[in-house]
Amino acid sequence: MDTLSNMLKVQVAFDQSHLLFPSLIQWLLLFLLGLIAIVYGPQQLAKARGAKAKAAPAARKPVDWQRLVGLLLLTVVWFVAMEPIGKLLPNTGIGFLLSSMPYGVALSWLFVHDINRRKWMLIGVSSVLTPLAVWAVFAYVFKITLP
Amino acid sequence: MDWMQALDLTYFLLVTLGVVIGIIFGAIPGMTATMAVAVCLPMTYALDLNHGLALLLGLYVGGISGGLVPAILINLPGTPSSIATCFDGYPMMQKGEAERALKVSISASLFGGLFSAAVLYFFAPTLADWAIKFSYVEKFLLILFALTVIASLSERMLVGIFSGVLGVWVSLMGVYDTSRGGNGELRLVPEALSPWLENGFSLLPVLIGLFGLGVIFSEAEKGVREDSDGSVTLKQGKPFSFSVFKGQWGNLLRSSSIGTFIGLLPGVGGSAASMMAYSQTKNFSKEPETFGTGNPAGVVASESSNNGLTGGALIPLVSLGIPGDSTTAVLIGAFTLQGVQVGPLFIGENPGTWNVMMVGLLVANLVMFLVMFFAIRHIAKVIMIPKYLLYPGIMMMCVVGAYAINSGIMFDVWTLLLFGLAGWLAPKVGIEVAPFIIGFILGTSAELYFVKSLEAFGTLTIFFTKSPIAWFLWGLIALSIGYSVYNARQTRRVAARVAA
Repeated sequence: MDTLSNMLKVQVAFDQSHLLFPSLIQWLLLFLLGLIAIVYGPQQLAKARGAKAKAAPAARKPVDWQRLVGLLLLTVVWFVAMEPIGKLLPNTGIGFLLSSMPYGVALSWLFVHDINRRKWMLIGVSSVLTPLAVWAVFAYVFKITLP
Repeated sequence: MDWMQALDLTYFLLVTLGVVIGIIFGAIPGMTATMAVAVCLPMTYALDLNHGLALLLGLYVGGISGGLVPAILINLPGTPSSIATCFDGYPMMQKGEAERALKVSISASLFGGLFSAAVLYFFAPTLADWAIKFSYVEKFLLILFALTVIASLSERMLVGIFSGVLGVWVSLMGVYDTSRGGNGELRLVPEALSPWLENGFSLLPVLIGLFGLGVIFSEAEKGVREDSDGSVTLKQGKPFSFSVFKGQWGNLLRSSSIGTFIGLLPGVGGSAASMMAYSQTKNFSKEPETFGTGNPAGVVASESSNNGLTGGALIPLVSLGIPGDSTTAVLIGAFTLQGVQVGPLFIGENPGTWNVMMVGLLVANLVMFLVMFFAIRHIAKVIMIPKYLLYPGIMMMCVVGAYAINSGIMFDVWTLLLFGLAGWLAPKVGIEVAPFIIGFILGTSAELYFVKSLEAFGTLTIFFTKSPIAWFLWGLIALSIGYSVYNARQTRRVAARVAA
């Protein structure tokens, strides 16, 4: 009993205390991963084999890679452009405003289906007004820092 | 009565604005109340706490309520909490009773919201008084209980627990804060990222990324299809009359109670409340075969329970500091912004804010009813707003929210994108977002309580021997794990019977 109770005693060394809880959590994560593999692994494998045999790929929902990857790429370009443009007129939010307008056009064009003249006009108007409204409200009314 | 000075015209206008914006978000399928609160959080940066809460509570109530509109009109729930509203709401629409279905839902939503607000008002202070007696040991066990509850209601309990613990792990990145008794040393962060991750990931970019950008990535994956063909009409069928509620008092009270109780459980959302209330109402009905064919009782059950969730989810938030659902998890961000700590001491130390919150919740429910009941023909048109115009604007709001939180750091914007991708990818690899976010929010507190308990008592056995409250909490943890195992077995038995 004494040995057991000694094993459960813990002294927290201050200079190493930052590693105590994270180490515990990391071990717990590994343990849980192992348990998940044991409990659900065979089920998942059986399901995957069964799905392959029934030629299930047709039932899988199609992924719109163009829109998905396009969204990611456009967003990355937008983020990268914001600060350099903002340095033209610092602390005015101009970086956000000027980069958001072309982003709005590009993203709307990416997302729209069956584009026509009317939709182009709506995209154009929305891509100017929306960033202007956000910029005006946050930068001037709420006085929030924008890039 | 100093707190009444906070109830100025701006306060009521902000509640109304929040409700209207929330209804719009809720009414558009794919957008949720959580997204509404996350995306509009930047608007509260320049407001004081009371005005900020007015806006956010309006968004919460409006967002939850807005989901009934597309559920009834196009058989697509606007928010997950309106799933069960489709079952009888859409058939009512098909019979030409769209306006009647909408008004029945709106009235039921009002009842559920007010019921849970009353429970919140009377129960939360009692729970907070009890929780004040908790030492670090009980506080740690409470967080453990919160994580097991969310996990036990996940589709796969072990995965739910893993997701919660993963959230805890992510929250520990950065310096071990000296203000929490730490030694100021960096951990879990590569050297190259240490200039940016010294204080870990900020809460708000993570929340806005997971619940804002994550949704847009999912929509992009599905091709950003419009849910409505642009033609929504409310035919003049059987007119609405409050007599439809005759004989529905039992349903209203039971469903509102279910919603409030489900809201009390940390991390459990409106869809569980809605489904549970619907199935219970069907079980108690003398004509269960009429459910699914346009029975107003089904709509009453679903909507009173999902609005009942709103007050219920605020109970653990204000009394224990543990969010009751993902939307209240975002509300923690609002409190953090204002430097207010929610938890057992919140009500006692901030009685004015507490009263102002209650008034806000009450007014939000009333405004929701008035706006939706009398302007439903206009609100129905919201589902026609094209996503290709809406989503760029939402992206911009998300960026503003992330950038402004630490007074202008682009790293927070990249964090937004990272967690937006994580929010999209998580369901595909089996990670559950709700437990993850609860783990992320509570992770640093869990560490504080755990380490302080060990420093004070020097043994792991203290977590089992400290007090009767600790034993009670272990009992609750065992119960939630036991329930999950039992539920999983039942599901497997039913599936096997159906397959046979």
